[in-house]
Amino acid sequence: MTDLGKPDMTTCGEARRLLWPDAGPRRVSEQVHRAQVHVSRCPACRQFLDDMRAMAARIGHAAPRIEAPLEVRDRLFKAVARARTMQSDQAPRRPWRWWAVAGLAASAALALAVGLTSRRSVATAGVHDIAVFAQDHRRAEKGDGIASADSLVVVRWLAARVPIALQVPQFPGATLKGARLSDLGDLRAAVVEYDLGGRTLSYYVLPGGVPNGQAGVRAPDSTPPLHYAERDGYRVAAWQDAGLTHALVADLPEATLADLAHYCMHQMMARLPPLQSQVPPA
Amino acid sequence: MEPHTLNVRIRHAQPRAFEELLSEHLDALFRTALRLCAGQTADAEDLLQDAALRAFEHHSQLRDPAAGRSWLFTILVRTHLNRRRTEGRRAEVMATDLDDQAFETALAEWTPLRLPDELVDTWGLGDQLTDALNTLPGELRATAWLVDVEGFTQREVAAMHEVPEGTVASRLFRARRQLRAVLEPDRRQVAPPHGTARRPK
Repeated sequence: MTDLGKPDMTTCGEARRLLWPDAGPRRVSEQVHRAQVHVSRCPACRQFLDDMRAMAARIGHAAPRIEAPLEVRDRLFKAVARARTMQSDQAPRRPWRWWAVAGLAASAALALAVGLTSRRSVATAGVHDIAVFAQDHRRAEKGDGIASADSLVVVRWLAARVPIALQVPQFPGATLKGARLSDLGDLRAAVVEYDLGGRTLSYYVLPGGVPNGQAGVRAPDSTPPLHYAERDGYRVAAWQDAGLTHALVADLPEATLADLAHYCMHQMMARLPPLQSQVPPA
Repeated sequence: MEPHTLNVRIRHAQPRAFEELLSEHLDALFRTALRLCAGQTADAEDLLQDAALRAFEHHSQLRDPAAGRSWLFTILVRTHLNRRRTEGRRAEVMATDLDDQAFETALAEWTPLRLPDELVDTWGLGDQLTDALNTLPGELRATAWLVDVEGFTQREVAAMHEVPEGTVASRLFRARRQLRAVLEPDRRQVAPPHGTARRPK
């Protein structure tokens, strides 16, 4: 490249270095101003700047826009959920103070007096009471969501809305109806809904742990313990796995719900046990 | 969700705010991790998870509502750089950068580009571009990807890598100089042949 004559002493290389890439609005120094004058007189430098713009556009256009696979998304958010669970378990504890002990004793006495010592009201990082699933199930059966019997469509719909790439389990005799979202306190749950012999079966998944105020019922196999609740005629079977809370809700007997829950757990682990109980007619 | 609302919730450490931020940018982060790891999916997933957990640990430090995306990418890039440094590649990183004089000489030697008017042959172009990106040295590849594909500014990429803006410019130019072979049809014909089967990259 040739440099232009006086008064332009700026070389092409210097002008290009000073003006490319475009750094956006900025105070123009004397050096940059000289570079701009140079470019206004130098077709080769203008061509260079045009080429750089064209290359940026072509590379940006041609680069493949790969999406994160569902299994990658799933593993990632499970890892974050585990970290969140560990973080809440390891919350720093302050040293005891006499006034804190006194306050705690007073609170305990008050709680006893007003009967708030329900074993299901223990606060956790997740939902406070798994019976809220039953409440939500009853209230939101016709909530916003997607109606589809195609599990892939449902998975994709949920993946775009919640940071959990969940599997859509299949249950014997149940037909997939669709999915919706549910805000349970500060947590957003993914809810997959099924028709099971005329009843609605809801499968909830959300970050966090199952309330620990109630000991779960452990099955003979290695599956996580189940926690039960009942409200307004709807039963809940909930369990925790990989930092997520899972819950099944329906107006079904506890044994049937437990059976479905174990079926779901085994399905997640790709081991399908036979169902022990029959789903009663609606 | 509005960025402001999301950030207010992040600042107050409300439960799912971090996951929402991560979910919003996950595809772009995954693509970038894949490029940083030269197309190695397992390495990219490992890097992404490592970066996501670091981001989760520090997400209460995120203050600027508009900075969530840049903040996540910065953590991803620095996690990658830390891994590379651990692997003893620091000397290689430093050796690839040009001083001002050498950069100006390289800029002055640029010959005009001959791009087709229309975007033709786009079917194979993405794969060829990916292959070409994967053959670039790591710093050039990361810079070209972050600027040309993800749309970050020179200043943002400089901050991510903790290098001067001029270094980013020099890396970007050298990356584009190598990538032009893919974009110019005449040169593409003499480019080394690639596998005929499309594969995930």
